[in-house]
Amino acid sequence: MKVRLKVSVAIALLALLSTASAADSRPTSPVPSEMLSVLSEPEFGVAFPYQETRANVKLTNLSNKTVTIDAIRPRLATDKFLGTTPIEIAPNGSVEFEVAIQTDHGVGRIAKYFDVYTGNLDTPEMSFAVRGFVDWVVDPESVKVDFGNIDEINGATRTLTIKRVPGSNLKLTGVVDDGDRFKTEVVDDGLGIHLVSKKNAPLGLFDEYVILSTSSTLQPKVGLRVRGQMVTRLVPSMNPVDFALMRTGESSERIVRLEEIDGKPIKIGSVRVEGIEAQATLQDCIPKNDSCMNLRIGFPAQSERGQRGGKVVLELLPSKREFPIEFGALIIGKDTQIRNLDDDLRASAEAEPQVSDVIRNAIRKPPQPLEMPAPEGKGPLLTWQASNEYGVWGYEIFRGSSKDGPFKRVSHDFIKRLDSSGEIGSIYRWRDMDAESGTTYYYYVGLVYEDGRKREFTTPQAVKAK
Amino acid sequence: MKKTLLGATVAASLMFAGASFAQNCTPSAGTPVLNGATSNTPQAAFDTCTAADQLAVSCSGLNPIGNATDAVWAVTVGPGAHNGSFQITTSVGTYDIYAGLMSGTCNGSSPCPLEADSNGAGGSETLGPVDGLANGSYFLLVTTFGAGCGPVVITPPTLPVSLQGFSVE
Repeated sequence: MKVRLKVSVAIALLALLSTASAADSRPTSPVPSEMLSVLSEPEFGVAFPYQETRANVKLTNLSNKTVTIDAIRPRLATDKFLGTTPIEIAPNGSVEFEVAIQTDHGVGRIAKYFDVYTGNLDTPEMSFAVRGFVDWVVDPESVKVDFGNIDEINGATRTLTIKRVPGSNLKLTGVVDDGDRFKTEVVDDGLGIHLVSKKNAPLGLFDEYVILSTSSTLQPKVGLRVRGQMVTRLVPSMNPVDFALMRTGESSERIVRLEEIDGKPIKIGSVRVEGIEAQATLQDCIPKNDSCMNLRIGFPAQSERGQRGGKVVLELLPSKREFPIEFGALIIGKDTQIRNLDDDLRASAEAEPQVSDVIRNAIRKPPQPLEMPAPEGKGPLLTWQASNEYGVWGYEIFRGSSKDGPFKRVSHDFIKRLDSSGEIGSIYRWRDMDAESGTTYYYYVGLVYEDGRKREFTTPQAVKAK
Repeated sequence: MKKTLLGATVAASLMFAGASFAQNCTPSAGTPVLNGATSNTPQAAFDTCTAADQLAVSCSGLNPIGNATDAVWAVTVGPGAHNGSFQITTSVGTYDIYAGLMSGTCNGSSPCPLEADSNGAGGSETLGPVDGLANGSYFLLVTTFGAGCGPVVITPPTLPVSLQGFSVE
């Protein structure tokens, strides 16, 4: 257990350090490349969580000289460039290659970034994004739990029921990885998850995923997000400790109150700071009380911008268990400007309208919604109109044989939003080519947001197929 | 063998769920309550080319933003109910907007409460919904994953998508 804790802490610290160092070695060029271009936005289409998918990328040499690409690097190590370098591109020529994208627990539209290097391997010539939509069979909203504080003496249990996309018969088949903090079981004939906190689990904050296997070929794994804080009888007044925005050259200090909730005397051995040079000292509370101590954390002035942080590790006695208290700040430049959205909006509202704008608005016709033509054929035709389509990725069609279902998705692909601005609104049409003549069906339209959320957009409506 | 899935963003997110703000970035009181604005909502226009390169990493932490200019606004969500989504649009066809709503430390490593890079160059981004956000102070970041800058228009949370009609025949 302790080894795993150390591994976790090491991973966390490495992540923090790598993030901090990223501030010093930014991989992108400040100006668009005049040499290379991705003429069409690379897309991987639709994938599911915990899956590898691929995309084609076409790079074009815009110059009149041969360009040699020395490296193409993904920003995430889990993604891959599947070609070999160096690659020579003739003047005005193009080259195509594949990249592999690894999805994780995230759903909805995602973007993965790659950097292209020509000669100078420190500064890329250009960067490109590969985008796609990560769909799901198990609703991610149904597989997340925030436990808050878990007192390790009393522990915590929770049973969840998964929500599946209509028509799916997916069942959970097992636990792939339940981490250090919970004993996890699949219950309710594969439709439920039972979590029990483990005794002597690592103390401190956690935000991680329990991985379960499923019977679905589309989504063979599900990530159950668990968050909270494992505590003993010693509870900090805040964790993490937020130093917020700090400017270079400024130092700051925070005090965390530590209390023993049973009223017993607090016994702490060593206090150390990991991840950054900072000061952490224990002081008596005022008035002095054996079951209370103040932890004073001093964040020294930083000279470099970027995220900085670490953790104060308290050694609890007599158990010698470690309790980490996280802290951090974002360091910005002395003169960095932070605008105020309210001020900008107020200024916009109070600005005198230009005469030309008034005239233009007076004579302008309201924009008409975009309209999808009716597909050819004889099956039932669904028509719907939507407005305020901001953040909408598209629509799905579900069909059932009764008003109460069960329903199943019958649109093969997402019906993507027509209006890219989101503000005009659109009229959509979709025809069921697979309907049997003389059969009564119930249809409803499902709404799909860019962030992967879904909901029923219409109520079911019946029609007898001609 | 079981292994703990404690990723970089997780580690960082643990660090930055706090609340208090340093004095130098405390937004003024009375900023947008974001109660579901109407079409009369004013918009904030700004050219990110006039901003500085302020942040090195985005909300995702492992996705460094790079040397592009970063425009940052202080935003207060609440008090009271709030819903809808921010819209960020650009009129420059080559500007590929990345938008994030950062909490707490405005940090570059922890997952943002909201982030968006759904569309490519010239496309708009929808940052939201803000419904699930706790009342408090946030920072709205508008930048790009790659190179370039451009004018952007920010519209505070707008009405959610609505159905105007549905028929089956």
